[in-house]
Amino acid sequence: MGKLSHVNHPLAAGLRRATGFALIVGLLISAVAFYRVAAELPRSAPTTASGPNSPTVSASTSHRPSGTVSPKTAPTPTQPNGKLPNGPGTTEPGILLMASPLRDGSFDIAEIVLLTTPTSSIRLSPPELKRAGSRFSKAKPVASQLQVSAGSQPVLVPNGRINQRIDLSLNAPAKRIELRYHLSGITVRSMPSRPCADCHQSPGCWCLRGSPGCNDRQRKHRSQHRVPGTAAPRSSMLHRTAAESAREAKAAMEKCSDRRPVRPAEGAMRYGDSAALIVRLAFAVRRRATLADGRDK
Amino acid sequence: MIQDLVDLAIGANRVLSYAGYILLAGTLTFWSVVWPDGRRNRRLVVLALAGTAAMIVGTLAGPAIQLIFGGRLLGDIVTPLGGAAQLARLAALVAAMFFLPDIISGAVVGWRRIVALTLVVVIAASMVAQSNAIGGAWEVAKIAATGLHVLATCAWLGGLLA
Repeated sequence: MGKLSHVNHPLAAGLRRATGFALIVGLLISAVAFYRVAAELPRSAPTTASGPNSPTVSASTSHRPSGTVSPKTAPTPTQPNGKLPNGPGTTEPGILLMASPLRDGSFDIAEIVLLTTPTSSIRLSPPELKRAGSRFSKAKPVASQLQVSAGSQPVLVPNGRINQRIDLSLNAPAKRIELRYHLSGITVRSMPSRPCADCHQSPGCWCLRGSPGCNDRQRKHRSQHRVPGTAAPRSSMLHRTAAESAREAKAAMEKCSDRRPVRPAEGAMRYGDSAALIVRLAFAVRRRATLADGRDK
Repeated sequence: MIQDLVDLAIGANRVLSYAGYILLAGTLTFWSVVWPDGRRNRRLVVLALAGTAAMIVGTLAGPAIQLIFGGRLLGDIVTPLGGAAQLARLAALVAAMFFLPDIISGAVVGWRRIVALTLVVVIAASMVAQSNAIGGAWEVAKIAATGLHVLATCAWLGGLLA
């Protein structure tokens, strides 16, 4: 152990410690990086595959969360599978499609096609997304990692990728065809509007002068902030101080007091410390005018 | 046939990993708790080093077998937590291998005992993170039970071996 440890040799011990420390740091950084990017790692179709040469289908679409998984052999199509629902694709002619959405908008898809009569060739093509609307006109669907089996025999797909129509010849006529693939380029994301970089408000929001936490430059910017394509905000209501508001309200009341006994509505905005906008609508009743009006009646 | 061999290799690799864990963690626990001066015993040192090597091989070989011979993709083999746990375990094993001479340069007490037991806990935690205890109902209870089971295993079997 004395030769093994090299504790008494400063240079060897230092080199050993430095190497060990570098490896530890590198592995820990790798662990953190792996944890972050592992969700984007390539995965096979949602069905549990036992190998490329024995394509199988299972109804289970969940991956085990454990890392020490022991791959369970999925049931072959010829075996009775209680997990697959009865109906088209399994017990009667038709297609059973199982899709599992992924975080990036793509899908892991498994299909089981059951035909009435055996066929010796199949035609594969990406879906036509134009039917989904004009927003999907620029989408380019691509099926990758494609695995096809007809009957119990695997079918060779060039590059395992389908981005245009292709005809595949089967080794032998088959009634049951299974496909597993990763379908991408079929989603359109609606991105939210970005907030203004200067005042941190989105273009559709009200731009209020005197909001908490804004400086002079932001106040000036907010007063100039306009929603594109719309008229300017009503400056008389939103861009006035409390004194102006009170003065204008008083003048308006005196102007119309003989015609409307009740003040219609007055908006007063107050900003609390909790940054929550409290809009207090005070419906003040001019008691004197109402009483006077009642006396008149 | 190939799949059967792959399953067999994965099972054997799992046995190798657990055996390495028992040897390494059991020896470290034995030094820390029972016999701090046992560091001078050459057999114990060999047990610890053999356990470290077995665990490193088992940790690396598990995904490699499934990748190369199982025809599976990396995303199918390891989960984010499981892969990170494997890398963290590798870091702990590298620490055990490179700093074992420092740990046993004196009696395994004080900071040496803390370092040794920390290594045991980290390795055990990485194994729990890879197990079926993660996810599902009663997750906390399963994690606690699995963790205690793994620690008790290393203390009991490792102590017996030591």
